Amino acid sequence: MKRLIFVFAVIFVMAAGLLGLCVAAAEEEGAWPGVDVAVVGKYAEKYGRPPRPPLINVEGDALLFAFTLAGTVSGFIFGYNWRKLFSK
Amino acid sequence: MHISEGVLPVGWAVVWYSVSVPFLVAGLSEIQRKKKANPMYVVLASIAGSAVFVFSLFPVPIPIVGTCSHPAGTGLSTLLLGPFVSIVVAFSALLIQALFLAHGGISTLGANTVAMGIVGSFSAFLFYKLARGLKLPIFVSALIAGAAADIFTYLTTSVILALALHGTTPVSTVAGSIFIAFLPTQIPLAVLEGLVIAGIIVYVKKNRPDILENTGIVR
Repeated sequence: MKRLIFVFAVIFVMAAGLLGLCVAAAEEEGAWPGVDVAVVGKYAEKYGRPPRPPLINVEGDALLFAFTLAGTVSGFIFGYNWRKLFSK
Repeated sequence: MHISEGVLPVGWAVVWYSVSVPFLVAGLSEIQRKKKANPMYVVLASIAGSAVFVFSLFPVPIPIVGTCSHPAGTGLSTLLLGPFVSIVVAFSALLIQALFLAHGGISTLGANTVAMGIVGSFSAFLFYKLARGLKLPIFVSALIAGAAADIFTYLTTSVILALALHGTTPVSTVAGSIFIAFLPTQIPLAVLEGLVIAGIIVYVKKNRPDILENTGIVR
């Protein structure tokens, strides 16, 4: 039981830390570009092949919603199956 | 490492799709075979699939550099499922990301699968085997495997971009400059990814060693 509490505490601290970093990054809009943009996008433009909009161009709040939904669904799948493997 | 839609010319897009297809076929047949032998394999594949999907989408800011990036996650799926199935897992994650989450693209899906799926998975597998061959503990070996998957994924992305975009500049010069641009962000992230994967593998080994025995990760 103690080990379980310890594992959950470590996961919680790590998740909280990462969330904090992400929130801080989001607050400073533009200050934390992803390498997909800062490196891939930069070199693609430099060599004359700038990125095109994706096939299904989800933007703005819809993209945030899609990310949240995808994360939630993945989390449920992960947790449900993890329980099946490790709790029985 | 997601190469965006339209960055690669059609010829190169076809080449990378062609490279990835045989590996995907091998991975799918391995899933069918292992599923028949062990029904819980699908459960394990679901865990690894959802983990890779989130890992490869989760932006982690690196304060010392001022940029953010995401891990690859294929180190984990390789150690849990084996390299060929890990490629299928990576392809599935990249496909959903390209279709619905504006990450990567359909024309660049083959190239992204080669970088994250094929090279990421096999580098993790080879480095894990090498580390275990040197009698390193399982935690350290898994850490090395996770970090190798991340770094080699980005190295391959650099080469793929350089091959398609170099123009009159030598491929090695362009690939080198792109890879060097990735490194300040990816090195700390690779270490972090390695630590997370090592923690998970040690947990699995303590609680369900049979899972790792099935993939030949522990004997």
